[in-house]
Amino acid sequence: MVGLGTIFILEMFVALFLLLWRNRLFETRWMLWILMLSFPFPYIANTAGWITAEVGRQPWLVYGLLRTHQGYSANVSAGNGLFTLLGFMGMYTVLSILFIILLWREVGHGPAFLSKKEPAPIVGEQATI
Amino acid sequence: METVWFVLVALMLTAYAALDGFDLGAGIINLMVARNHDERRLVLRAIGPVWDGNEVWLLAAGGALFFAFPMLYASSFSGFYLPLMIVLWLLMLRGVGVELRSHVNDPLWWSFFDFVFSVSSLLLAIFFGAAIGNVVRGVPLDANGYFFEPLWTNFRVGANPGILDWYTVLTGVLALATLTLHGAHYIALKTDGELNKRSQRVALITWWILVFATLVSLAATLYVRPQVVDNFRLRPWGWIIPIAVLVSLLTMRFFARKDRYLPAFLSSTTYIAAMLGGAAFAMYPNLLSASTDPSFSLTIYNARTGAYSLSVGLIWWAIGMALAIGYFVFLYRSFSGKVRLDQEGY
Repeated sequence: MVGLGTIFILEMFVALFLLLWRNRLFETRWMLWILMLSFPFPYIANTAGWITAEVGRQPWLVYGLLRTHQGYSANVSAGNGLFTLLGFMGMYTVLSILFIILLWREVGHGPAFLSKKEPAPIVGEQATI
Repeated sequence: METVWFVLVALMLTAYAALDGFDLGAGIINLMVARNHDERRLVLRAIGPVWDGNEVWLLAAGGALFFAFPMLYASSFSGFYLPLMIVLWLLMLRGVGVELRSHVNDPLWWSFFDFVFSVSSLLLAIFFGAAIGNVVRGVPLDANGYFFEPLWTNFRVGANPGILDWYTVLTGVLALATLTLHGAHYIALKTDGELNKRSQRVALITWWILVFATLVSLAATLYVRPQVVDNFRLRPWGWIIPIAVLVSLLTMRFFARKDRYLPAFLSSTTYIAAMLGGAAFAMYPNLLSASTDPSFSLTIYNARTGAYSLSVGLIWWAIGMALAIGYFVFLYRSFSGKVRLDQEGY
């Protein structure tokens, strides 16, 4: 996560430099490729960071003071926990699928300024449905 | 200090009910008053800029509860685990219903998300009302201050109540009527034409249901928990609260009939504030009453955090509240006036 974060900062400095130096960012193909290919990395960095924090804290809830097995809700049964866990998983699955579908459509529509000059090729919708 | 924080938490919950109440109300009446695509868009535009900020008051109230009365937070969020999760899911669904509707140009897509928005708003109103009913009725706390209530048992208010029993379903219906009326006033305020007329009709019809529900739930509360009148005897200035309920009920109908929806909306806000304030006033100093043994009740004295925290927290609360109120005033003034349709947005 930290490594990825450092890479992001470096990337952005290069992009900023290119942008400011005679506005050459949009013509520098290699930089545009790098920017596009690094699109999944924030998700990875984010998830890696959270996993590190939450797994790394075990077996403590509050470091040095409260262990995880001392802090659970005694009155909530395992069945309740499982039901809500499955409920959240289901809800997030549905929302992720919706998100991916909508994102795919938006990407397929192309950049907004293009569609004013010519109809943008509707790659996304025709291909998936 | 405990009393101050009791009042502040009650105030924030009331702000939530009054603010998100009209978004939920708009959702409840959405399928009734908005009959075509354009009208549905108008309803969404009426709540569009403000619904997210309104919902945040719930988090603010919950956060303040966690801060000031951590024992109550621990006990009630475990004891009310299932309905809490269900409310979370419904809040997610309501947000999804509002925001995703405009992303695809397809009537099936629109009507699906209208349905999601409406049904989740309706269920949220009922669940929130049931939550207050549970707090007023009392829960089976044990000696440690913990409890767990199943979603329902036998629907009777006895030694072993569930989250849903006849009393809490009644308060849920009361909340539903309140928020429907509140939302109808707001939609009538923000729209004109057919939407305005239909919202007015909904408001006028729902008013009768609200009056009936208020009286019935008052009687039910006195039956289920007779101790609620104790505080009114001890502190007679509290009688202003039922008077405020009565006056706001009368004024909201008066103004709604005259097409003056800002006073009508403010009247229904006053009604919500008076009802919740009355519940808080009746419960003080209990935070969560025990139906098992009164000595097991969580009060503001045994559930609070340290005195230093409460004092310092007050300073931070004041700063945060000033920022929040300033922002809200700016937000509502920026979007004042009737909503119009255009190419962008919902």
